[in-house]
Amino acid sequence: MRALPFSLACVVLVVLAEVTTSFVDPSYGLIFHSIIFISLLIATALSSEKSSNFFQGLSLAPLTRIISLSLPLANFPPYAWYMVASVPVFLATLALMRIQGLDLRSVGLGLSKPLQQAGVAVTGIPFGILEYFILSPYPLASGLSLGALGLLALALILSTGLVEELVFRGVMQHSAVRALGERNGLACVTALFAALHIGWLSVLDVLFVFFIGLFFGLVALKTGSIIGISLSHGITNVFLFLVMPSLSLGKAL
Amino acid sequence: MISTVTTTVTTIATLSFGVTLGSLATIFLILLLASKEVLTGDSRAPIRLLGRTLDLGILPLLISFSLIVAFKVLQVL
Repeated sequence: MRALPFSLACVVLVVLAEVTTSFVDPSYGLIFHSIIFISLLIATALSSEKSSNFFQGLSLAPLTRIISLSLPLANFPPYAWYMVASVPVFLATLALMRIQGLDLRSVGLGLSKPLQQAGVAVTGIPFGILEYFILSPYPLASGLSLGALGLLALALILSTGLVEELVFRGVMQHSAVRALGERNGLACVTALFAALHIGWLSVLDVLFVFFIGLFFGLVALKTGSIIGISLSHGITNVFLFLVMPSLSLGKAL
Repeated sequence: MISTVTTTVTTIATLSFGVTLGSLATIFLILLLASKEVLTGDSRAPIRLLGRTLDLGILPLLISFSLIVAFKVLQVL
């Protein structure tokens, strides 16, 4: 099975599934994502080892949405949504790493070039501020003590930053680059990453996320580590959901 | 109705919509479990591989299912 046309088809189908989820009916979206997931797993059984690992990696994209749609998140307070949703995604990623025999270093969980990684981590601040001006979300939590906010920020960094980067840049991009080459692999994974943000109903945000994804992907490729980009991703969300909305709320009062 | 799909890991649904989505996910989980049972017993290697990779979906959906059951039990109590 040829990896490039199949991956392009996969990106298009995920975009359509996300559009269905966000604009038509989430139930149809769930069914659509389930069909993509099963098709990718069938493709793994029919392909060479390199392509097989790549298709397994790609299957994490529809699976992420299947998980987030099926979890009873309405029963949890908003600040817990990210943590609750990240646990099954993280377990699925660990299962995939086990199936493919990937160790921590090969998915970028080694700390190479710490100074560079720290520099990359700081980029999360401007990214978060910029994304706040695009989306202006409600604060994830209000009326919490400073200590509780600190814990929530840490949880956001771990659950959104680390887990999402492990999925997209650690596992998915690792196998995509092996199967498609650097340029195509990077483009494919970044497109999937941006597609999964369609639910915000903002074209500008999808474009913004695409360029951030491209930046994260390039850093992961060049440094061989996802530590810096995980921190940057987490800090982006801390500024997007906690810091900036709280500052705006303070000004409004 | 769905409120929003935030980042890549979270989707927010109201309680009534959550029931439909939860039911669909449970049906999908049953299909995956049944397929795994059939496929892992096959003698051909690619089919057995497919059976093994189904764990990717089974594991997280089991967590989802456990949470749905736990909240249902809490609701009844």
